[in-house]
Amino acid sequence: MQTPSSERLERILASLDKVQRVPAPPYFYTRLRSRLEEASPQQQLLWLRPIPVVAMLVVLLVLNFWLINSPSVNSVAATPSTRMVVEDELQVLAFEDRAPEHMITEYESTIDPTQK
Amino acid sequence: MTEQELIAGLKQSDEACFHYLVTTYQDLVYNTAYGLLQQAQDAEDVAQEVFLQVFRSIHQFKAEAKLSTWLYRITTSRALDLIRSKKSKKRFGVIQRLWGGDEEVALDIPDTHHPGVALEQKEDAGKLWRAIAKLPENQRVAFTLHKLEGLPYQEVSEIMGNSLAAVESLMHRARLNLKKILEQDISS
Repeated sequence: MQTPSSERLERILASLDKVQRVPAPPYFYTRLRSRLEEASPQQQLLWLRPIPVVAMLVVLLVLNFWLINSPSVNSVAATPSTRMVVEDELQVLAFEDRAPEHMITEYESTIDPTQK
Repeated sequence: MTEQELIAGLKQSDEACFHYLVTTYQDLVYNTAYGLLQQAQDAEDVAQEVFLQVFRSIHQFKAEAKLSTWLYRITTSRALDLIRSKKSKKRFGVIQRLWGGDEEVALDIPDTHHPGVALEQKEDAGKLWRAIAKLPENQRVAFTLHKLEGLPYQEVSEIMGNSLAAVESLMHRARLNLKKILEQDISS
């Protein structure tokens, strides 16, 4: 036998059994449509669109490839300042009889004869 | 319009198909969101987000399930996301106040009654309505889909990605928990 409180509990638990579906508010589609337009691709930032991003990546890759393979960038030409530093170092080492002969000849071969 | 025709139209971004989709399913989506969130404004926001997501990701829909099942899944997931984010904001607000912050914790007052309840049931339904909000997430979803949307357990299991037995168990535990919550509510 059910007690009054358990009867009440069952009544409360059954209170939503015949509930009606709550309809969407009026003009729901109109508001949704305007929100959709706000978020349309035209409104997105240009640099976030897929095509510009891919194009930028391609340009960067080409530039990178060119920099790596460019002979002028790859050759280590001794600039006047670096040449002077290396010359100084070699002179000091030569003075102290510690510079190996092959290092001195190797370095001299890299120097442009016009700059000597 | 058949479901296949509708999906094909949506995949071609046909506006008439999108209008048909929204007008056909807006009550289903809104009512489910409202049942979980218990607030009209939040429910409308979530319902709009659901249709926006459908519009953007219709190409991912593989038609293995019914369109309505997919809509229920997106709606429950979006509604739960909002509930979680509100809970974490509330917790953060409380911590801020404990540390002497001036910011007020936003009051999150749910609607007191479900608008679809008959007048003579308002009081009892109001108690049950408030008790549902205290259920754990899975039980809340199962109970809402079954009671407020009137879906059979089989469909609830398809939406939730659980077995039929798991949904039956969820509903059983939901009823036990609701009884406990209501007993405390009645005795206080």
